[in-house]
Amino acid sequence: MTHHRPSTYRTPFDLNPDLRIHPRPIRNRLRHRASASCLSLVVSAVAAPAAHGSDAEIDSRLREARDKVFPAVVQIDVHAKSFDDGKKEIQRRTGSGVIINAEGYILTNFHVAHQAEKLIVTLINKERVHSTLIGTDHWTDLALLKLDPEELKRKCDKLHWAELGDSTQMMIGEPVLAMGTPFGLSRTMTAGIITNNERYFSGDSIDGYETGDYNNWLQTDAAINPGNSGGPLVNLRGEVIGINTRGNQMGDGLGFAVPISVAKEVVRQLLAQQSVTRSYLGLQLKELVDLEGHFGLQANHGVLVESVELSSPAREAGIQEEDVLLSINGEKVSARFPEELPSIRRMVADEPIGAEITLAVKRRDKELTFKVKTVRLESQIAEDEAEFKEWGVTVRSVTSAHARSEKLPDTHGVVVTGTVTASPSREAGLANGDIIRSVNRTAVTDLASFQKLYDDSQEKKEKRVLLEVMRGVTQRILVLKLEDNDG
Amino acid sequence: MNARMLNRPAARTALLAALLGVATAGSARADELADAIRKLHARIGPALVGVKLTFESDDGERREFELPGLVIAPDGLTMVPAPDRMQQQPRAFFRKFEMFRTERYDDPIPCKLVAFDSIAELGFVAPAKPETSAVYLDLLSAAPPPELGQPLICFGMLPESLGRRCAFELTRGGPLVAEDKLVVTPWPTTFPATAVVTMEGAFVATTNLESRVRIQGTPTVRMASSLLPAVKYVLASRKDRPEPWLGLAGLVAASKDIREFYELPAGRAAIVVGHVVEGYPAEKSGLMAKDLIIGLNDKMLTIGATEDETTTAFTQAIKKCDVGQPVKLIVWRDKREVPLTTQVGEMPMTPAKAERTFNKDIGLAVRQLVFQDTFDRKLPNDQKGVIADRLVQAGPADSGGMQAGDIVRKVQDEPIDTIKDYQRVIEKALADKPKEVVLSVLRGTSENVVIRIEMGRAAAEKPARRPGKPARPAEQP
Repeated sequence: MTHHRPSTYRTPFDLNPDLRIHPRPIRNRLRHRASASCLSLVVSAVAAPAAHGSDAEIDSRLREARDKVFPAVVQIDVHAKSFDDGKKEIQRRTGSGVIINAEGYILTNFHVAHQAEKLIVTLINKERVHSTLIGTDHWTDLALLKLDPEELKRKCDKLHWAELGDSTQMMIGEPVLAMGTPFGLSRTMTAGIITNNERYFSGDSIDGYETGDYNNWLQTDAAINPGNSGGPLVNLRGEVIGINTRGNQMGDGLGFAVPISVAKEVVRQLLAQQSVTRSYLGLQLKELVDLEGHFGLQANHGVLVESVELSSPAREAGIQEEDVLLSINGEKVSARFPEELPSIRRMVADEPIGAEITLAVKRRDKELTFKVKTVRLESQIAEDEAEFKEWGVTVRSVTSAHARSEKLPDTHGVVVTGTVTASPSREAGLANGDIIRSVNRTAVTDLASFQKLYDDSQEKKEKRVLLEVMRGVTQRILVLKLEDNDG
Repeated sequence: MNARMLNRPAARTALLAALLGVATAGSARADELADAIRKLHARIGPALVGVKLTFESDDGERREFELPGLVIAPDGLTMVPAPDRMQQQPRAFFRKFEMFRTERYDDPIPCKLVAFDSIAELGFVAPAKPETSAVYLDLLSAAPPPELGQPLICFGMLPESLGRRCAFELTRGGPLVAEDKLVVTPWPTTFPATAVVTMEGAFVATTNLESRVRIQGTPTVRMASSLLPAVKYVLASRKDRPEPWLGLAGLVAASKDIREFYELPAGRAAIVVGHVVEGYPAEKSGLMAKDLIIGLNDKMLTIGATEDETTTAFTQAIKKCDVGQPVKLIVWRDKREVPLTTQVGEMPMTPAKAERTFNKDIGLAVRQLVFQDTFDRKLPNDQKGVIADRLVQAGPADSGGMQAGDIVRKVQDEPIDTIKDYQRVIEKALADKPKEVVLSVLRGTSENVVIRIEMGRAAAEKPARRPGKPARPAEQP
């Protein structure tokens, strides 16, 4: 969870309607939490499976786990770009992170680090070290940072890092520790148990970026507060088994962590290529619970292809909506309940881009096989939002996913994300969601070409700029009137 | 006092004095005014009626309200104001019309709906048993627009609680707004000005209910000229007038900057075309999106007093045409005038007129797909299926995840092309009291969603979801 000014308070707490933000004054919040976060509760929670040992043993295991991971936990202070009403602003927020290797790489959340312009990491020795953003992945809400090696050498004799464990082995009831810097309160540890190991949230987004389709969550009752985001969830062996990502301010003891098994693959790709690539076919899958009768299926036999996206590889290959997917590359798949969907989606996503995938489907009484070549998964919105100050507008590129869902002819143009009050853009009537297709009758192909047309226009000190815009089904012509260029 | 007398300067002076509330020297002259009012009152009063409307949505919510009516033909054909939002309600929801004459509270005359006219924003009802010699006001001999300051009399009906008596207020013509709206000063405050007439008794304007209820808006009455095409059509044919349309969407007045950019001669107005609908007259004429329309039928567009007036003047001019009538659009391309010719087409069916059906067992009302549904969502013109219009809250369809706007394409695996298919298939599906009904729907622009509706649980017995607000006139004084 991140912590910044209440007026711009935006964390994934509001990702799910059931997990809405319930702003409470920090002090009350802490008082409220005081009982849950004290260690005695953990002792009793841990004491439940008493067969494992005496209280003294548990105390020592807690201390060992703490000592193995706590020195690797960091506080991350972020200065991040934020785009609001057509302006770029710098926003401050605080999150947590965990150092995962000797080179000083830090794992944290996407929603902590994305759009960061400055990242200052506070180490266990209380020294502050700058770090750089290596890459992010909004689908799993993860990000990778690297401590500045020079600064690190100066400020830290011995770098501690944490071992990554095996989250697939985490069962409900197992004791866990959540470490981080809630509300910027440095080095805090709370304790609890795993309360669900297959939680699933469908159709979520972080500031418009899709998230959660490719992972389940570990749910814990260890206190997770704003500012805990990006910190590790740790087992009693002192291994990181999750990255704490969400909490629920309305509920009590409802925190959610991205399993480390998911994070390991993300880290591998971010280290290798600074981004995560996934394969895409255009299948929208749905669990079959209660629909087996309608589709003439036995339980736990296949997953429903509810929809096939327009001009997607699957559609072009001939897969139809309401086909029942039986296997992927020969491996049987089934989803009776929604929490079974992420792992099936990953079977496609984890294939290399361009791989040919064999899909077996049941269509009424027939079984059919299709070979489909994957393409790269794209997000609905691009991460390249930029400000064009003199025009008073912020835009981002049009992704193929956006073009597909909006039935645009192509991905040309840029999408307007905001306009400044009384700016040339606002006065001309430009609106959020408009797609600027041309500037002074020169076509805008992408963000770079828009940038160039803007720069040219600025250089020429143009007083009037003609924009051609697509708004839904209609086209508009708008003229920007640049007062400052009048003289 | 007759019309000619009123033209005499003395009569006018007396009237003016009376209107201003100034005592005149000769009380005989004031009596002349009273006499004129009495005569008009006797003539127009019987043509005023209250039209009580019972509105019932398909999930059973009922509302009743009364509209101020004016009888316009000897068979009792009556005109009532029918604002756009009222006409957007499904036709089937207008269950009952009754007419009440002045001072007759317990003698309702059953009526039927004859026509709605969305351009003139009028409704027309007539007694179920046609009359032969109803007192009526002849709208076809309406007066030209009044001069600024010309004395006028507003006649209207007092509310039911005051016995639906005919009342009047004296007023004067104010500025004319966009050719069809008139500001009258003072504004009649006690009743809707159903018939605004000259001192000679010629019809000038009728009430604009929307303007009465919109508190911030300046009250206006609607000029006879904007009503007459609809009135003439309904008098002659007793049915809905086809709405003329060229197939244009997203019309926006070109700002001064745009006009300059396109080097349009100074003082010329232009409308930028946002979208040209495939298969309609504008497209056939060769008009394209982003074209600038600068004239219609040899008449150049003029710059209105507001941005809206430029475009509404154009759209109103089209709406005054007859379907099939040839028109010429003058377009500004490459710095010169290009004439394009075509014939006026007809507006596609609106959702209000679409055929609909409500099924209580699944708590779902669907209707026939119309142009508007497919256009906004970029669906093909020949999109098949029926569209979910309303759902009973917490009813089976609602609980199953169905949403208003979903296009039903299959029921129990049987394809649905038309509303007839739907009625047949859903009836068949529900006949043997199934535990579930599975529907395939199209949501948004392209997403297929499988909806499982669980049947036979008590969930259906819930209060109905509020239908969209019907007409506002319910709140009328």
